[in-house]
Amino acid sequence: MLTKPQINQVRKLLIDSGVSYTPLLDELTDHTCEQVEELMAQGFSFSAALDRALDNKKKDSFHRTNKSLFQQLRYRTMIKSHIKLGIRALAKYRMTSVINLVGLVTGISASLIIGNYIYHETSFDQFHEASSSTFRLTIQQQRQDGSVRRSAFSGAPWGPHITHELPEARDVVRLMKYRLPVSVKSNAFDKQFYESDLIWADSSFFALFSFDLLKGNPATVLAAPNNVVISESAAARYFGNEDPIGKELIYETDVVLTVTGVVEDLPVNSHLQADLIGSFSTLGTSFWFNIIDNWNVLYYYTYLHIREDANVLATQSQIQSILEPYINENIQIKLQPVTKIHTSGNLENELSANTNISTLVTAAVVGLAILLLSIINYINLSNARALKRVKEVGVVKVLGSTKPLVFMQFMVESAILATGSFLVSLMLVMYILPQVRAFLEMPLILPPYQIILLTGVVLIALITISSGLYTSVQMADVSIYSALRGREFKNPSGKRFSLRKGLITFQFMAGLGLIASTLTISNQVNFLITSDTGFEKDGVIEIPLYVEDQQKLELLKSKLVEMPEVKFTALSSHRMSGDQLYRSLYISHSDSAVMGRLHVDFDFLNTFQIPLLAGRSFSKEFTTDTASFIINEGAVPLLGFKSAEDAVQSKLSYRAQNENGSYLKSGPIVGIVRDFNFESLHDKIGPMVMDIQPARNHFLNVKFNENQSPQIVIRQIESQWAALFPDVPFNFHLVNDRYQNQYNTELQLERIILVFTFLSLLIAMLGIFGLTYFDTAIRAKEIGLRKVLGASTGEILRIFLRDYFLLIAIGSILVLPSTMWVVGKWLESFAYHVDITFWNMTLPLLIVATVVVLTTSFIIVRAANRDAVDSLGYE
Amino acid sequence: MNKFDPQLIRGIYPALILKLLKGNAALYGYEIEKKIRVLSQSGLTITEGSLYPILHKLEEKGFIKSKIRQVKNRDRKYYSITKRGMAEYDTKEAEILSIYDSVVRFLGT
Repeated sequence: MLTKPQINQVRKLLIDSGVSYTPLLDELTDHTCEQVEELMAQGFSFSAALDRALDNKKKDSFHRTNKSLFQQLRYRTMIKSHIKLGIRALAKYRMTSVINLVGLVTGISASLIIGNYIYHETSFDQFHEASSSTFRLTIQQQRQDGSVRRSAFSGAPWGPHITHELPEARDVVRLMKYRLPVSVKSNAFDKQFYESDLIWADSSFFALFSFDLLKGNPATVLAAPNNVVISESAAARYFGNEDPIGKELIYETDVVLTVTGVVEDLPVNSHLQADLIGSFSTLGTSFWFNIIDNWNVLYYYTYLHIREDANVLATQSQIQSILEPYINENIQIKLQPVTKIHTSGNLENELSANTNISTLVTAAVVGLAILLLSIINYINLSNARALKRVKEVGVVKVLGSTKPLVFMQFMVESAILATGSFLVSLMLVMYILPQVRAFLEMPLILPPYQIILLTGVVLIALITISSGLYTSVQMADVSIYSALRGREFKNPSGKRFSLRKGLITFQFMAGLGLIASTLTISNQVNFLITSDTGFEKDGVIEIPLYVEDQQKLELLKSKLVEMPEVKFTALSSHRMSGDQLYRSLYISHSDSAVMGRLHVDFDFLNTFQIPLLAGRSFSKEFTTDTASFIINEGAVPLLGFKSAEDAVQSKLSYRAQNENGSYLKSGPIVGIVRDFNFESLHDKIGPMVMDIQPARNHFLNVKFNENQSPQIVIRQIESQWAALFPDVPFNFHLVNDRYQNQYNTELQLERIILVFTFLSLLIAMLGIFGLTYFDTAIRAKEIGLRKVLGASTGEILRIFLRDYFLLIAIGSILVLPSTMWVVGKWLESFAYHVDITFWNMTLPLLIVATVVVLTTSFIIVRAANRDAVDSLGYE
Repeated sequence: MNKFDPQLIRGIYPALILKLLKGNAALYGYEIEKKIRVLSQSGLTITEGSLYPILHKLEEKGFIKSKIRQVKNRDRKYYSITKRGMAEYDTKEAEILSIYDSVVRFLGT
């Protein structure tokens, strides 16, 4: 039996002959040893036997075998062994591996969630078969004050006329939807519902849109007047388990609709949402008798399917010229691709809330930045750890490993961590998805598994290549001599400029930029919620009205006012937050202008405490006040008045539409109020006119004594309501709550940025923690020497922190100006906004510096307090 | 016995190795080489340069599996046949015999 040194001699000879692949080397060692032992048994000495067993011919053949194995096995077996080695290395450097894993999982999870969000938002309306050639007609209208109104509305006669005149047109669908919920009753169960998702649609609805009709013929379900298609959930609501086909529903009080079809609930990624789809031909035959033919009543949505090969811009201008003889001259027609509706921002009168491209781009940038931060951590930590592993590489190379093998080993290690991180992230994201959905208040549909798989492959490749490549190349290039002597690898943190410093600076930049953005955004959100809008929102509740009995309403109002807790009541046509006014052309004796129109009643100004600048409020003492007007400050110059006082008692008139066609209303201006803003602080306060029209009121506003508990007052109001309207459900909102809700998008943005700021700081903290840990290990000798030479712990701490502070300063110079610019642009999207303050830019510096001190001090102090004998002893 | 032209018999070595492993619990490289030599009465010899790449390839394809044991102060890799390997051997055996028949028939004409 051969001794260990003899076996090592055999192994060494094999390595010298070019065998480097460990599994082959092991087997050939055993094989040759067996042969040698046999020869020794025949009487040969060890060296003679070895010479015979391993002659030059064999050595050549072994070298060739080693080479061919590399090619034959296509690196598969090697990769397997590298995976084993990789896992061992990851387990050996547990601390770095955990930091890397946590960092990567945080980064990947955040970017996956953002990816899911972007996928959801861009998937809207893609499921329609004809999505690429379907467009919505929108309008642009130049206002007198120079601003442009962009609206999703169009006129009812437009669509049929276009299909008649335009050769490119294939099909058209018109839709109509009331801005307020409508009442629908089922005779079968005598149940009444208030539906906010009832739309009226042309019979081509199911030909143009790919919604799944479960019952009924798509071509005929909406063909006749008084037909209605209901969603699966509406069917269950109205008829339980019974077959709804042929059953009747009562719309408002008297319009009977027959159910002709059942549609699967519309997908969440459709901008069109409806529970009931009534036939468009019901309009004009059962109600709205005189409006439907008017070219300039813009209250409809028109969707056009054009030929696939049609030029969109040419078609758009053709439509403009086809409609021009019939429509107002300042209206520009635009064709909006149906798939772009959801990502093109909100036009006026949208069917549902949209997002816009800049939000999606911002999300993508933030997602990539977070991913980049975690990859940077990985690069930095692997690189720092490499300083410790350089001897290991030297030893591996001595044992016969080649440059490509060392490169491969580090790449495989990197790939293992990347794959592991991706899988953990995927599981984490799936686990927290319900919470994310609740947090974003979005249903977030998941992409198909192929996309998830592809994302995984791309992410793993990206992480492996970007973070593994640098270290792998560096390690593969290490020469055996210098590796074992530890000469080649100097601490890169000691250099004035290094990749590592650059990467840390980038992390600081991300943290600083995000914190600065968060501060400004939260200032603006706070401003939106608390700013003076010119009317009192506290202590007012708003009750939507579905009742038409004016006498009973008046009775209710008088009963409410009798209550000691109630101060005023007022009816209005619009809700006092985020609503859009009617628009009409108003004519005074000297000028005319299109302005907002709001219908109110006598106590409106009192209820909302809107101050008068001149004149008086509406009053029951003046019987003529039902024909009077109150205008706001903004309307004064537009109507040609020099001052508010000048406008008082001047004549004003406007023309509007009602169910009986157009009517003219004229009367004196009795009061001028200060501008108040209830549309949105995104827009400037527009000129507006108020008058009294009881039939147009849709909300009852009740101002109560603020010292009273709202719950008690609301309960009392409810009991009064129930006594007068026992069949009508009582519904209410606190005006202030609703006002705040209209800034949900901004509140959501604030919350999201806050989460990502936290995540980026967490990743940066992990990275800096890991790096400091390595730095103190590598610079242990320096720390020891400094201590021996009399440096205190505080001084050592200062030396380490000075480097980080310098990088924070550089980062802030690089990032804060651009952040100010971007945030400034965002603020400009609000007509009313806060300014960026000195603190918005200096506080991030303090926060980042504090985080660095908190993260690193512990390790540095521990290293500084270690006995210098330990760190210097090995020298 | 005469040695055969290695080019001619290269293709049948995997089948021979599978056959050997089918009849034995586990064998290591040197043993396989030796058994082939002894059983073919030195007619068939396989060099280390051919043997190990074949073994690795068979293992990669899942026809054989290996286990490393410490023997005489060194690592020794024992190979054994898998179920898939047995099925593979049956196919290969039928294939070789059929080639043999065809060749004999052809040469006899």
